[in-house]
Amino acid sequence: MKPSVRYTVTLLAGFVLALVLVVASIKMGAVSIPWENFSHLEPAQAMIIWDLRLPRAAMAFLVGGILALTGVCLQGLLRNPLASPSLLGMTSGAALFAAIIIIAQHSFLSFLHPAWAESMIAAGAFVGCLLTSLWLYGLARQSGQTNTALLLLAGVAITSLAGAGTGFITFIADDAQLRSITFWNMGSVGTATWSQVLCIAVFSLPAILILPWMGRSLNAMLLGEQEAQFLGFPVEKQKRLILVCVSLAVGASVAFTGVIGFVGLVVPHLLRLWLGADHQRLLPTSLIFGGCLLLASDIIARTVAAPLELPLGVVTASIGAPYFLYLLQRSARRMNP
Amino acid sequence: MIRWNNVSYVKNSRFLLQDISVEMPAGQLTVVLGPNGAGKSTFLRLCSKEMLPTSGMIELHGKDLQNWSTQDMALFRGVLSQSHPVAFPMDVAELVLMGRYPHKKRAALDHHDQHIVQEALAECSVKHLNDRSTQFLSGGELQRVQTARILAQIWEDHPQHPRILLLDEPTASLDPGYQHLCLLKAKKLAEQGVCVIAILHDLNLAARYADHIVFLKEGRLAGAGPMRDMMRESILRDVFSVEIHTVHDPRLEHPLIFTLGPQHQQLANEPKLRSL
Repeated sequence: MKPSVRYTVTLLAGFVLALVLVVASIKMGAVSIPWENFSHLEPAQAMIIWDLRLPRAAMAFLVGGILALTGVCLQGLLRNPLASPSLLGMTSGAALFAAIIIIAQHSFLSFLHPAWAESMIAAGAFVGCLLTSLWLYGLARQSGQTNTALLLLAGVAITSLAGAGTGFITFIADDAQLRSITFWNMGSVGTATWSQVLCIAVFSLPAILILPWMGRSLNAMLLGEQEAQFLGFPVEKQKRLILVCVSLAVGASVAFTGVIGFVGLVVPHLLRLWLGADHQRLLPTSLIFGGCLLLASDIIARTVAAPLELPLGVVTASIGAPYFLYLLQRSARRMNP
Repeated sequence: MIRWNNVSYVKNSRFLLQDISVEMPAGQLTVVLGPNGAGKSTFLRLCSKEMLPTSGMIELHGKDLQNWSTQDMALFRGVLSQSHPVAFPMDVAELVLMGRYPHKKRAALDHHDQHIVQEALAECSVKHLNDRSTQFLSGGELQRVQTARILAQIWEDHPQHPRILLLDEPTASLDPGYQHLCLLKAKKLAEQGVCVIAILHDLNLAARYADHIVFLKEGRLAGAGPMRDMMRESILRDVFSVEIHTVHDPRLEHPLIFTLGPQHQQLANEPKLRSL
């Protein structure tokens, strides 16, 4: 199959899969809604669909797409297949700041309207995310070059530092605060509301509108930043743009769903094996398939032990990690026969 | 054309290049020679605007290099760096196609670009690697593929400016046959009016293909001029601090250069070679 044909087919398949998954996520769950009821829903069923399942599906799809998209961008930018928002400590940084904001809100900002409170958490998470990425970037930059090994090491260190911060906040939190804080570290889209979805959508709008068009410059950066510059790309400017877009989107996502690992690592890697390293193809497909993966994981999370719900992070890791390891083993075998 | 006016480059309060004024004309192959640590790579990096001079000015086509935008320069200037591996494996044709990116801002790359890519691959004799993934290439093959990418980038004449080609040790990982092929190609480009600047270590390759030589030593200009005037025993001995012997071969227009190591006393007793 020609690569361009393969790409088109994959993209279409992604759209179809997304549609199927959205329908499935509306229908399945603790209360199953039979097909014949869809034409005239009972009020309770309508409420379940409109206020619970649909925002939840939208959030899962959006966040999954964001995580995979930003994963591709960071991997291309850092020329390292291991880079992802969670491994670089960006999600932990965001979680720490979101936790701080939550504590502040419960303690002395309680007069705020709930909608404001939500966007403040998102803004806090964004600031956390941006600060972490800037700090990381500053650490790993030596005489105009970004040292990727150092970057990943610093990411690990920052993750544990932010973990300690979050741990301390957990320690001083009261019961209500504790419940909200523990939420992220599990990762869940269970509390999704339309206002949260809207908030994430607004914050990730730059990422969704800009990043899919960065394919060529990310391709060029695979050759090295200097080479990209020689091909006429304003590398520094674009790097900053990508980092800001990624921080905005990841920050907002993390604020409401918590730390969901592996999507940003597995989806780009799978697509790279399937479509090749061309970012012009990787970026749009990873947005869609990342969404599909998280949506599917959420369906599994809430049906497998219904009416109980598994934490989403547990599901993505337990599906993603073994399959990922299998693929690594296979490609390693193919490289040294 | 690239002209240096009293250029110095300082790093960590040490002169890497000091007070250099030199001119690299279009339509000539200029080879930069010098011992290790002479500042050759720094020289090329300043030419490519990768770094800016601490003092002095570099002119590109009569305009201060600082005032050129990366986008504009990408249209007529190719830079072959010492190759580092490609981060993710990709097809060779895809990699070479990147050379056409600067010429199509938003528009899709078309058949014309594909055609140029194929021509460039053929030019570097790597056409058979077309669908191969970069992860399975040898060092020399990758070097040739990267060269093809640079050629694809400056394949066509720019309407206003002569093209520029900067090569940092283009022959480093090539076998002798391809070393000649590579420099022959560079020479042919120079004859078409391209300003080619290359760093080389092989004195004989330099003597054979260069039109113009720039010698650097300890960050200073140790001489610059036409190849015939520069490739002389006395100058080479001064620059490289090693005993040099040149020989004339009737089949070649240029001298053959031998470097005699520490034991050159014994070698000097060899049968007489006619020196130039």
